[in-house]
Amino acid sequence: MSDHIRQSLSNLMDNEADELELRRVLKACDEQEEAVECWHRYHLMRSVMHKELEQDTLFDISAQVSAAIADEPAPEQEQPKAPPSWKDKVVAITDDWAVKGAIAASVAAAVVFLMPAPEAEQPMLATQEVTSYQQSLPSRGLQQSPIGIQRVSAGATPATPQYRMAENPKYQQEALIRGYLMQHSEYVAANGTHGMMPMARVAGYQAGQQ
Amino acid sequence: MVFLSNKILTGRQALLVENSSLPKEARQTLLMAVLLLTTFLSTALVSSVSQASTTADQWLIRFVDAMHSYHYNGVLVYSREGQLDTVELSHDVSEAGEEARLSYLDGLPREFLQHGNQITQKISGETVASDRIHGRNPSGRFSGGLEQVKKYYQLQLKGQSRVVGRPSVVVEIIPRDNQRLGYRLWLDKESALLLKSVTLDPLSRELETFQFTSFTFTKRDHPLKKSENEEAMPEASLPWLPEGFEVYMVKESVPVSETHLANMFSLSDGVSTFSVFVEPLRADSLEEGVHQYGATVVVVRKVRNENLAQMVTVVGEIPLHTARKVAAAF
Repeated sequence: MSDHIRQSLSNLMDNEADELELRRVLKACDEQEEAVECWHRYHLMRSVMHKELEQDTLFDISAQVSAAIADEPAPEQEQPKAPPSWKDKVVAITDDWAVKGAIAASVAAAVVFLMPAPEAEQPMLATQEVTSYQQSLPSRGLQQSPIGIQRVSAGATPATPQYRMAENPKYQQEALIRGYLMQHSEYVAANGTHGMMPMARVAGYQAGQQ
Repeated sequence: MVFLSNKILTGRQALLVENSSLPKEARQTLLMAVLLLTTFLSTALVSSVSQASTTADQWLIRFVDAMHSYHYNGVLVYSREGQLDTVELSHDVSEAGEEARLSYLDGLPREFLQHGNQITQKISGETVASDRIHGRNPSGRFSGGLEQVKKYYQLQLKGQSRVVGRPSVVVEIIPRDNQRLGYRLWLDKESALLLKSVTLDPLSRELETFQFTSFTFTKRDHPLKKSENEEAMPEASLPWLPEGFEVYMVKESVPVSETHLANMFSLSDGVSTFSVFVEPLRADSLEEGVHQYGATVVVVRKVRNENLAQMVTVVGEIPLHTARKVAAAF
């Protein structure tokens, strides 16, 4: 069965097929069993997507899946004795959808961690803004008072991030390094070739703080 | 202007051709004389426009003087390793000395005010720190004269450019050895003020950039006299220093954090500067290691002698291997 027929079937499903296509589809259905099955599958798909499927036609595949997994030999036995090459590993990883998901998640995490500096400098404020934004989202359709919700969320989140920052030895170290850099920059600003320009470096150290 | 003189010349030529009463030879000499005169005039005019600053040395001398004779302000952008920060900078000169104000346009509303010898740090308008700068001899401003600077750096004029919409000249300060960093400076043609600066490592890779994105300046009526009463060089020595670097300032018990105090030694070779902090070792001292922020390196080392444990921190705009060597000598 050609992609042409599939396209026509799809068009017919969407009520977009012209008369010529309708004739072609009918002819194909007469000649090929495959086209009829395809037509049936398309309808099934639409029913599932529109949540219109009758209960009795729905079948549970979870039992079959777990049975198949149980039947499968353990992965250690399957692995070759020689360690797999780097390339094979990469292929295996990229083939694995779960891993793909994990990579996507870690990328998302990295994006969160690499948020610009102002948030790091004012953690309390930033948290408030983020929460109030998230909480005000559903209120668009449901409620008419997003301001009230924002107030509640602002009160409910205490400034825990700031507390954590002061306790974390890593931040203590960074604060100390900044102390040395600041003293040095002041000296350079007062005595160096660049006038006050080197104080702009201090802005950079502040931004480097997470 | 050359175009203009050409026009005059052609006019004169036409005149000469018409005036056929002169003998042919006399006409030729006259033509030559006119030609010579116009070329001389044009070169004289061009050189007077650029105020005769033709070498890198002259530009640097003008640059140092400009710091005392201009008020200027603008928005400065600082970039390193893909990070960008914006500050507003204004610089005035009064009888009390230099006055500068630097305020951050990104993040916390932080401000630095320099008033003579005093540096004040403000956050959201509130003073958080104030510090008197000791050892106020502009050690980094080509101190010891250009001759001293040229012992360790090569000065080159790299041509002309345009920065913040202003014509500028590019001067490169190239280190003669690998113990210091290089600088590429864009100086305003009219005032010789610094418009842009790139810091380069010994392999000429760019480490950081300062650049004005808006810039205005006014000339002071009476340029400020350079302060004559420079403080005497302190008597101090460190175990090892790269060639050309000298101790310009020693300051005891510098507050590094609320609870940490350190003795600070500041060093300069006339262009590059770095500082060495020495303090007793504590449980909450910095961990040993190396940090780099653009052109600035931080080397932390713990030194344990028989009954003395010390922390040595080298901070400055010098190559990493140099900073390591300074710290390792303790």
